Amino acid sequence: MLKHLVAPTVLLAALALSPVTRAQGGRPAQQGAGNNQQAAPAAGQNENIHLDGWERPAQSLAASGQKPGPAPVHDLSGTWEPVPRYRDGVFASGPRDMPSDAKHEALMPYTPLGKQMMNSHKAGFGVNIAPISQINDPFDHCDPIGFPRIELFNLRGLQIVQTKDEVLLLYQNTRTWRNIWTDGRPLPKLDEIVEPRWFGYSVGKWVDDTTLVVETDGLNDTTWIDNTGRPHSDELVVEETFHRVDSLDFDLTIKITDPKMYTEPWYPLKNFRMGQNAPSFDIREMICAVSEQENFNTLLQNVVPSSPAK
Amino acid sequence: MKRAFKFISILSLGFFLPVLLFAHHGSSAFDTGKKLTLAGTVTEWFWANPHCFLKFDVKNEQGEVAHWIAETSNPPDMANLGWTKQSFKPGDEVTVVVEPVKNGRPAGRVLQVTFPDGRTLHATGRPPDAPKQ
Repeated sequence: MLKHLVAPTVLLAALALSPVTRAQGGRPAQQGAGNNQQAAPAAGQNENIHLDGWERPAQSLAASGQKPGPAPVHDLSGTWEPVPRYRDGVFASGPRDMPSDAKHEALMPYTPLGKQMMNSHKAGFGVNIAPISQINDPFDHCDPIGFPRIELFNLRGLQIVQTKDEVLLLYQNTRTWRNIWTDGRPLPKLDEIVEPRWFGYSVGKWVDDTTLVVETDGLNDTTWIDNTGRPHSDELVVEETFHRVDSLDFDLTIKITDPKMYTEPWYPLKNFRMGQNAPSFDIREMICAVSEQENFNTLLQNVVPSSPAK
Repeated sequence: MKRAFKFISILSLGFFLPVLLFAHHGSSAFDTGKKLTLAGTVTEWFWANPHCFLKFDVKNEQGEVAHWIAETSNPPDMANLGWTKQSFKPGDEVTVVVEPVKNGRPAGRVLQVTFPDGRTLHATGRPPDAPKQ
C-alpha cells in the first residue's frame, strides 16, 4: 500500500510546489480594471524563467536592476514587452480596461447596428462564448489578425524602429509590422480610401517631447477589434498614444471611435505599461501557420463537435 | 495505484484552480477545474501554433486503448515553461494530468506531464529552480 502512495504523493508535492500556489515577488502589477491584471502573477507564468528567441535567459531592463532615467526625446526605439510580466498583454477575454464580462459589456456604447454585429460574432471567450464548432472568429482560420486586435489580444514582444520619416512597429504576434508615417502627411480621408487594409493607414505626430499620438483609419472591416468579437466598421478610427514615461518604459493608450458601431469613443487600454528589454533580446516567433491551424481545428472539432457553452 | 491517483486527483480539485495559458480558441468545451491523471504512452508531440498537442495512448484494466489528445499553450509560452520541440518522442511513458473536455471524449488540456524518473513538465507553471527538460 505504501509504495502505491509514493507516486501520488510526489504528484501532490509537485502540484503544491507549482507557481500556481506560490506567492511570487516582482514589480507591482499594472493598474487596471481588467481580467489579466490581478495583483498576483497569473498562474503558469514563471517570472524566473523567460527565454528569448535564441533560448537565452532574458528579462526587462528594470527587472535586471537598471534604474530608470529621464525619458529620451522623440524616441520609442527598442524591444519592448508588457511589464511587470511579459504575458500581461494576453487579453483572451477582452482588453484590460474593457474586458468582455457582464459588468463592462453593459458599459459598451453600442449603436443598434453595433449590438447586432456583436451578437453575430461567436467568440471563444467573453460574453459571446460559443461552442468551438460555432465559433466564427476570422483569426481561428489564420486570417490576418488586423489592427487594433494586434494590440488588444496577445500584445507581446514589440520592436520599435524609427527612421527620419516613420516609426516601424514589429510585432511578435503573427510576426507582422505596421508603418507609422511621421513625415507630416495627413491621415487619409475615409471617403477617399480605395483599398481598406488589414492594418490600415497610420500617421503619427509628436505632440510633446515624449508623446507620440498615432491615428489609423482605412481598416478592413472583416476583422474583430478584440478576441471577444467587438465589431468595427469601415469608419473605425483608432488613436494610439505612446507616452514615454522614462528611459525604461512607455505607456500605451488606445481610443476607439466608430460612429457606425459605437455612440461614443471608448478606451480598451489606458496607460498600459511596456518595458524595455536588453538590445540583444531576440523576439521568438509566434506565427499563425494555416496548415497547423487547420490541423488544430480538425483535431479539436473531432473530439468536441458540439459541446454546449457554459 | 490507479485508485491512489484518483484519490489524489479528487483531493487536488479543492486546492488548485489554475488559470490556464490557453487563449486562442474557446474554452467552452473544457470542464474547468476537473482533473484526470492518466498513465499513457506518447504517440505524437506537435510543437505548433496556435497550440501544441500531445497525443498519447491510455490502456484500461480490460486492455482497451483510448487515444488521448491534449493541448498546451503556444510554443513561446511553453518554451518559457521549459518545454521544447524535443520534450517527447513516441514511446515515452508518461503520466499526464489533464483538464478534460465536458463531453467525455479522450481530450483535454495538459496541466502537467511526469516522466518515470520523476521529472515533471508543468503546463501551467513550475517551480523556479526546476531544470530544463
